[in-house]
Amino acid sequence: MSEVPDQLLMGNEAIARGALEAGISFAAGYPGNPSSEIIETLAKEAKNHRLYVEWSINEKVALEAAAAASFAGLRALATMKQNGVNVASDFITNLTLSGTGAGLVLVTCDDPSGISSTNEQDARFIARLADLPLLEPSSPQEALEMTRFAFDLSESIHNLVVLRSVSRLSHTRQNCRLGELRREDPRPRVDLNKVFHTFPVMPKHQIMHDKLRRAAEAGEQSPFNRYEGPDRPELMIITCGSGWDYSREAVELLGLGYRVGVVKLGMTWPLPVKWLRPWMEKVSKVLFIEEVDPFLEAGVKEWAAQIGPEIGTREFFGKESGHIPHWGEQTPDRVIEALTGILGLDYQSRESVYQEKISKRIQEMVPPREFGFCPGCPHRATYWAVKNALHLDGREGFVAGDIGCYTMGIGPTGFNQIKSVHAMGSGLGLLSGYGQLSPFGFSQPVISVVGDSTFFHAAIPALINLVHNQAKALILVLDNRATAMTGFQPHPGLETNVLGQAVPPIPVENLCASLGLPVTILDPFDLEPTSEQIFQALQETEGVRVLILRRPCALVQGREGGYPFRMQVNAERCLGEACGCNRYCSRVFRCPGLIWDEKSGRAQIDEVICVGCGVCTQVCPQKAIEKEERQAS
Amino acid sequence: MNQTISAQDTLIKGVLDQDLCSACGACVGLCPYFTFFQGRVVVVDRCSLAEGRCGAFCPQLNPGEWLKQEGLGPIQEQWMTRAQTRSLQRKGQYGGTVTTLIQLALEMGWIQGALLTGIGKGGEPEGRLCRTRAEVLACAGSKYTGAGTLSALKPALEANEGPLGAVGLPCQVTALTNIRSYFSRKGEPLPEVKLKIGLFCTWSLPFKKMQKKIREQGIHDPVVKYDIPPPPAEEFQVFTRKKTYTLPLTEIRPLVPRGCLACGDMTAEGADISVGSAEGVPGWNTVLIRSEKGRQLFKEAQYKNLLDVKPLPEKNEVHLQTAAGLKKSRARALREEILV
Repeated sequence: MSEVPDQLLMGNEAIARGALEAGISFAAGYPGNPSSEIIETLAKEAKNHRLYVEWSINEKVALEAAAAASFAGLRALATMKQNGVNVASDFITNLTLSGTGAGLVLVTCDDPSGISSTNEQDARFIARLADLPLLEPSSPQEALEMTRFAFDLSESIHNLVVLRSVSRLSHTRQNCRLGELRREDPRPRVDLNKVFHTFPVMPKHQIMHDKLRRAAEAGEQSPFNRYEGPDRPELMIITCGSGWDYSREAVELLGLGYRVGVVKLGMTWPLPVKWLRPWMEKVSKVLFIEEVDPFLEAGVKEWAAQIGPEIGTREFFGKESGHIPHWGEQTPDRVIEALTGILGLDYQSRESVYQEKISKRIQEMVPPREFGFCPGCPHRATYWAVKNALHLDGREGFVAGDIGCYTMGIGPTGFNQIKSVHAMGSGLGLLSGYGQLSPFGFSQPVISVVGDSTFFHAAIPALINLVHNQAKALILVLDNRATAMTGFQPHPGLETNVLGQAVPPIPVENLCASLGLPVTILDPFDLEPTSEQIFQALQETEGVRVLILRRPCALVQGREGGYPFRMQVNAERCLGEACGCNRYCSRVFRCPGLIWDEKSGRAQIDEVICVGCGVCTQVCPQKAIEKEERQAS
Repeated sequence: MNQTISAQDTLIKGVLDQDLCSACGACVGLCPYFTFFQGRVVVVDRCSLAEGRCGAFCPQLNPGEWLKQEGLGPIQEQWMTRAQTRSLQRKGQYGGTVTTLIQLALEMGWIQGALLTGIGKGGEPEGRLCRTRAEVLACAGSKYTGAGTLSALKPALEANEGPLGAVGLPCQVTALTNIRSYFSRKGEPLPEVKLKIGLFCTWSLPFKKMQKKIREQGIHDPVVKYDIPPPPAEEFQVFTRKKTYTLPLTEIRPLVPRGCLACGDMTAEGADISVGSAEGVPGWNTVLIRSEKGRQLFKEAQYKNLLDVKPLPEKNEVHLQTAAGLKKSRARALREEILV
C-alpha cells in the first residue's frame, strides 16, 4: 500500500482533496469569497483525473449542473458562498423532494463578519428549510474527511448533503493526512426506471423526512462528535465548526479545564440527540458557541424543551441570552468574556495600562486607510465622470450600485456616488421600480452601474424586464474585462474557461443589441467625453440606455505590459494648498499614486505605486501633472 | 478631523441653498470645485479651505455700498443718450449707448479688451472677452438671464495684455469691487479692470427655467432680445428674428430668483457709468456718470459725436428714484428677514 505523504492544505484545498478522494467526476460553482479556491484547486487537478470543472453563470445553475451529473450516476460537487445558497434555494427545495442519484454535496463557505460580503448571513438555514443533513468541519483535516463522508451519506439516502465552512476554516492551513484517491469511472447513464421529479408532493415529502432520519443515524455513529473535559462539567460548551478551536483555547487560557467541558458536534442537522443526551443529563449550564446565527442553539433548545419532562430544565447561554453578540465572527476573547460572565470570574487579557499604550501608539503610527481603487483602475475614472455628470444635471440624481470592486463607489474612492447595494444584479432590479415613477412626479435620475461579470450573472433578466415593461433607465456596464473582486475567474464575456480552454466570448453589446437596445461604448479614461455622454444620456426622458465603459482592470493591464507613461508633477505650476486647488489631485481624485509632500507644499507622484496610466493629467486644474512616454528598454 | 466651516460651505449654505445666488459668476472659474452650467452655479466637489476667493468675491455675502447709502449712489452727471449710428441703435437694447462707449474705450486704447456677455453655442448667455468692434457689437442686447459672466474674468485677465473693461449687472459690478478689495487686502497685484459699466437691473431670470418657459410657449427660434415695456403693460416681450412674442409678466415673476429680490442695487451704484432704459422714450438710454474715469470717457464720446445727448427729463429722474428706492427698501427688508 503506497503511503501518501501529509500535505499542508488550506481548508478549501482539503475539501477539494476530499472530493477527489470520494471520486467526483463533476464540480461546478460560482466565484465568491471564501469559497473560490475549491473550484480553482479542482480545475488545476482536472487534467490529472476524469473530472469536469466549470464556473457556472450563477449558483442555481451550478447546482443544477452538478445535480445532472448525479442523476447520471456521477458524483458531483457544487460550491458557493452564503449568498449563493440563497440563489440556489429554489432548486434545492425541489431537489430534496426529487432525490438525487450518485453522491451530491453542496459546500457553502460562509463569511462571518461579512468581511468580503454585502451581508453577514448564515447559510445553514437551508438544512432546516430543505430537510438536508448538515456537516460542519472544524479543521482542514476534518473538512477533508467530512467531504468523503458526505458523499457516502448522500449516496446512501439519495439526497443532497450540505457541508458548511467559514472563512477562517477555508483559509487556514494544516498538515493533512491524505487518503487514497478513489478511481471509478462509471459511464454516465440516467436510469429511465427512476424519476427525478417531486410528484406526488406529499408522499415524497414524507420520504424526504425518512431520509433525514436515516441521516441522523449516520450522524450519531460518525467519528465527528467529540467531547473534551471533566466527567461532570459544571458548564458545558456546545459548539461546532471553528467554534471548537476558540472554545478549547478559551478554556485553556482561563484554566477551566476541570470545570468546563466542550462538546463538538459534526452533524449539526439533524442533531445527534442520542449521542448528546448523556452529556445534557449531566450538566445544568450550557453555553453555545457558533458562527453567525443561533442555529445550533435553537436546535438544541428545541430538543431540550421536548425532553424537558424527562430531564428537567437547563440554563442556556449564548446569543439569545446576550452573552455572545448576534453579529460578528467568534473569537477566543468572546468565549472568554462569556465564560467569565457566566461563572463570575475576573480575567483581563491585557493590563489596562498596556492596552492604553498600544491604543495610543496605533493612533499615532497607523494612518487611517480607507478602501480604495488601485492606481490605474477604470472605476475611479468612471465614477469621476458620473459625479460630474450628475452635478451638472442638478436633479439630485444618484447611482444604484451592484457587486464587484466597483461597489467601492459607496466611499470616497468612488466619490460617494453609490446610494444602494444589495444582491448581484439588484441595481438593475431597482431600476425597474425607479424607472416607472415619473408619472408620480419622481424627477431624480437614477443610474445603475454593473460590472461585466455581474452583468452575465444576474443583470440579464432585469434588463429584459426594463425593456419589456418600458421603464426609463440608464445603465452603465463597467467592462473591465475581468471578474476582478473574487480573483479573476473567467466569465462568459472572456475568451477562456476555468480549464484553460478557448471559448467564444459573448459580448455584452451583442446581448443588448438582441434586445433592441442602442449601446454606446466609451473609454472611461477619457474623462470629459465620458462625462458628457453620461450627461446627455441623463437628459433622455424615456427608454433604456446602455453605456458600456470598457477598459481593462489595472491588474489585468499590468499583466499585459502595463501603461507607458512616466508621471511627474511640475512643482512650479502646482498650486498645492492654495485657493484654486486645495490639493485637488490627492485629496479629491485620490489615486494612491498621487501624494502630498508636506515639505514642499506640492503634490507628488509616488513612483512605486503609480502605474503610469496618465489619467490624472486631465484632473489637475493647473495642468501641472505631466506625462512622458517611457523609452522601451 | 477639523470641523471648521469652509469658505465654500458658507457660500453653499448662505447663498446657493437659499436661492440667493444671482448668477454673477464671480465664484466660478477660479478653481475646480465650482462650475457654471446652464445658468446655475454647480458645486462639483468640496473644498476644505477656511478662506477663499469664492466667498470673498460673492456680492450676496458682501453686498455693495448700496446697502448703506440712500438714493441712487454717487452721480456726477446724468443724461439721456443714444448712439448716433442707426445700426448701433438697432442692435442695442434701447439706445446702443453701452456698445458705443465700449467700442470707443477699445479704440482709444484705454482698455485692451472688454468682458461682455454674449450667447454661447447652446443658446445660453456666457461671459466673453471681446477685442474688436465686431465682437463688441455681437454682445449687444440684454440677455435678461443669469449669465455667470464673471466666470470668464480670470481667463480674460490672463489672456489680455492690457487693462480690461467690463459691462455687468449691479451684482457683477459689486463683485468686481470685492475682487479688487480682496487683492488689495492680500497685498497682491490688483486685477486691471479699468472700466466698469453697470446696467440697470430689477431682476434677471434663471436660464433653464426660461428655456423651459419659452419652449412651452412654442417658441423654437433663437431668442435675440427680451424686454419689459413700462407699466401698466404687465408684459414680457420675447424677440426672435422672425417674430415678437408677448407673455404675461405674472407668469415670469415666479421664476425670479430670491437673490434678485435680496438685491437693492437697481442702478449699479459701484460702476464708473451706469446705463439703463429711458422710460417712456423708446430707443434712448438713461446714463448716470459716477466717476472721473466715466466722465472722461463720456466726454470723449460726445466730442467724437458718437452719441446723441439730451438732458434727462425730470419725470424720468423722479420715476427712477422711486423705482430704485422701492427695490432698495424691499431688499433691505428681505435681508433683515433672512440674515437674522
